[in-house]
Amino acid sequence: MTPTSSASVAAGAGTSRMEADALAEFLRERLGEAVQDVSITFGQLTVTLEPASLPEAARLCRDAPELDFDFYDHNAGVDLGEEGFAVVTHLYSLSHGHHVMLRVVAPGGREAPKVPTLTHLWRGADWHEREVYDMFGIDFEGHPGLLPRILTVTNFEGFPLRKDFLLSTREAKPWPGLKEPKEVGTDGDGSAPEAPTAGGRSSEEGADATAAQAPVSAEEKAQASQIRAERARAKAAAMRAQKAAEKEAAQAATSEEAVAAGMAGSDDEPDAQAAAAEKTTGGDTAGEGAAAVAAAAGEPEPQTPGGAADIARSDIAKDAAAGAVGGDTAAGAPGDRPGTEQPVHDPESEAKVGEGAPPAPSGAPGVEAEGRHGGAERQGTDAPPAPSYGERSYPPDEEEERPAPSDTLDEVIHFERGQAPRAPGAAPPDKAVPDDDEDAGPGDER
Amino acid sequence: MTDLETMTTERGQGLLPGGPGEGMLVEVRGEGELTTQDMNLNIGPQHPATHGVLRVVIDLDGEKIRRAQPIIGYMHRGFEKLAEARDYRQIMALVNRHDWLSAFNNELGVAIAVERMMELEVPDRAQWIRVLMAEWNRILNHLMFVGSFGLELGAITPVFFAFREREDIQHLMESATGGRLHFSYARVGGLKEDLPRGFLAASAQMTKNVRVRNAEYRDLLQGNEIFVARTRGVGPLPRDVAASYGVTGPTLQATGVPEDSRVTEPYEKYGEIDVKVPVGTNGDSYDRFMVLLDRIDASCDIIDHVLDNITSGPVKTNLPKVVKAPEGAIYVRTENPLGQCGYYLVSDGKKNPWRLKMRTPSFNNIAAMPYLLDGALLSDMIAILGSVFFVVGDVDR
Repeated sequence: MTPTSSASVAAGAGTSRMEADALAEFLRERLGEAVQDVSITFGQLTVTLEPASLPEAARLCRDAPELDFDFYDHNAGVDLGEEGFAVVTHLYSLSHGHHVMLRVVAPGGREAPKVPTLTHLWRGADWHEREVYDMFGIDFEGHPGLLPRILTVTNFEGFPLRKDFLLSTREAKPWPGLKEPKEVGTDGDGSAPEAPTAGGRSSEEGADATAAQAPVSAEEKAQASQIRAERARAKAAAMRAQKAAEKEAAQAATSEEAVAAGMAGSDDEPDAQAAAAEKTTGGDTAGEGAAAVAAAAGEPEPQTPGGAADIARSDIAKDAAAGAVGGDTAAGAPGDRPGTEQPVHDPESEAKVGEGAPPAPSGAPGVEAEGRHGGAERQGTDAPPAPSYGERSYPPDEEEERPAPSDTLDEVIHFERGQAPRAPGAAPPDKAVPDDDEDAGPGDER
Repeated sequence: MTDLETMTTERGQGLLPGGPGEGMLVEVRGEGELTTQDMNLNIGPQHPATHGVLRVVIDLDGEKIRRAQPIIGYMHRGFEKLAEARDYRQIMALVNRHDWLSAFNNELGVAIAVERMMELEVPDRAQWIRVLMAEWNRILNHLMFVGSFGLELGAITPVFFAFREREDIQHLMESATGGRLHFSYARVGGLKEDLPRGFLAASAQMTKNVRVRNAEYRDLLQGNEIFVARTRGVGPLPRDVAASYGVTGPTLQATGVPEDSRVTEPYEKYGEIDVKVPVGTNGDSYDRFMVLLDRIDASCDIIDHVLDNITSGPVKTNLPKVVKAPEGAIYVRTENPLGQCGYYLVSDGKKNPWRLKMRTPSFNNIAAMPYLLDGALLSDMIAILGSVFFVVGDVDR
């Protein structure tokens, strides 16, 4: 078990190594007519052989002492289109250190491609030929058993790496990501103009569709908004009746009802609400309703606690938390992030419900508990002001001393102070932060 | 039965074959009635020793394996087909995943293939960093197998220790790449971005740590009588058979062949580094494991060399918006932790490859399994399977 140095390896392999052109010459000389083509690209030799002569050529490659290709690396099928398929066998010599790729174009076209097997020469050819059969359907004559299929399932239909085997996912749906950057010339300067980053094919179609619908007259718009406003008013009336029947209700509100309930929440000003709804153009009912409620609250600044509480008391907060109302409450709490505050407050509201404490004025304990929208309580009752989240997470002193990107490295760097590696999960030592200045690595500017 | 019969001195009598009572004459009862029958045993596809979904169907004669047949494909995800529908930057994320323990080494191979086809000059610093990251990834990979091989043989401690170092190295690599397993750090023409501040100093300290720890693993396992007894002489692989199967990596080096792409066909900056290639003598499970441990030390040496010689400068080259490999074919192989990983890239000049053949080390290594398991004892199967280091995703792609 003594490690050998690389020097001896390089010397051993270097003496007898044949360069690609010398190899090509040797093979041409020994194989004669069987060599159809020789190409040397990137210093790599590819010899195209007459298919029937592949076994003899391969045997020569293996047995000739000058070549000594004892190492079977791999073989690869390649779809050539109408011409059929090619199989490229890559061989390597451990003793000499040279490579060759033997390429044959399978006779039989796309219908019945056939290539002689090499399993009798190298053991490794077995699985690789099975794989090529599995992927391309190329029959290896003399192979001990190409079936069962090696990689795909036994009842798989078709040969997946053929070009006529379509990648069904991409056929069903175009690439879901952003559109490719616009193809510019291959001049290689990075200063090429920025390509427009439009959406993918599907979103382009979507844009077309909206564009087709877009040119509607102002009259139609007004009409549509009026219809919507009427519908909203009717819903609000229905909800008012319902509310009168069960005063502290609204506990089994489904999501659609919630919208209507939200409008009912501000039922003291139905006309203002309707008027507001008329003013709005475009947008779906929920968004419109939210905007309407915001306007109906009659407050020029809906983010003031009173207005927000009014809105939040109604169940519309549940549906529109991420939309208009959510934005409003977030705006009322500068520096807060609506996405992050919800998990913080959720357990509180759930716990409160569990304790049987009086729920928020909206009085929908079940919905509050399962709806995961604490917006009502947050603004209306005892929720701490939103900036406290920022304070909890990033104490100001820590924030000043430790820039965000470095905190992953601090834990690593403290190894070099000769301390024992920190157990996973243990807190880093307190002095890690000030010490960081002394131990800054190369490239540090501080 | 045949063994017993040869030892039977007289009908109904026999000599004890071993143990304290060796050579003792004993009475053998029911000898004539015993019959043996070949048994067909299915191991996997879910089995701890196969680290994934590899299935081995075994024909047993008593405790001896008559014939072993690995059945693969349970994790075939069609990467070669998917690669044909993606452009080269997307392929970087794809090849991260066939061998998930060697993510950076994989993406390096594709990056080199495209760069060579485009005749692109990669900045020096990027090449150094690539070597650095490739070696860290190699250590990360080897530590995994150091731990898991011990675990499979009943030594539960090494896996905890190895994961401790793995955690630190993953932390280090995460600081540079943003990923813990799938790094996606290499780009055609360079790297995603430069190393973060303090990375090199942390690397220098980490190699010291790894060396110390590696010596501990060596003591822990090499000095463990049970471990040695279960691995020495188990599953020997001759040199010519290994070559015939195209076996690479520690499995080939354990047979005494100092074959390593970093030495025989240096890529990136490996040509300027004295890469030590550890080799074994017998090609058995024990040698394979010891080569693995030695490779960790060799990687530490390479990292130290990189840290001494790394230059400053840019880490990426300006490229057109759409990277297109020119028409042609190239085969690039890199020394991955598990062996030589080759990419045969056929391009028709478009932005996605016409064909990308992934020649993965695990596929060839597992192909040799029928030879290795033939005639072995069933209880040695774990020692053999665990010492031919493979990742099932790398076998099936």
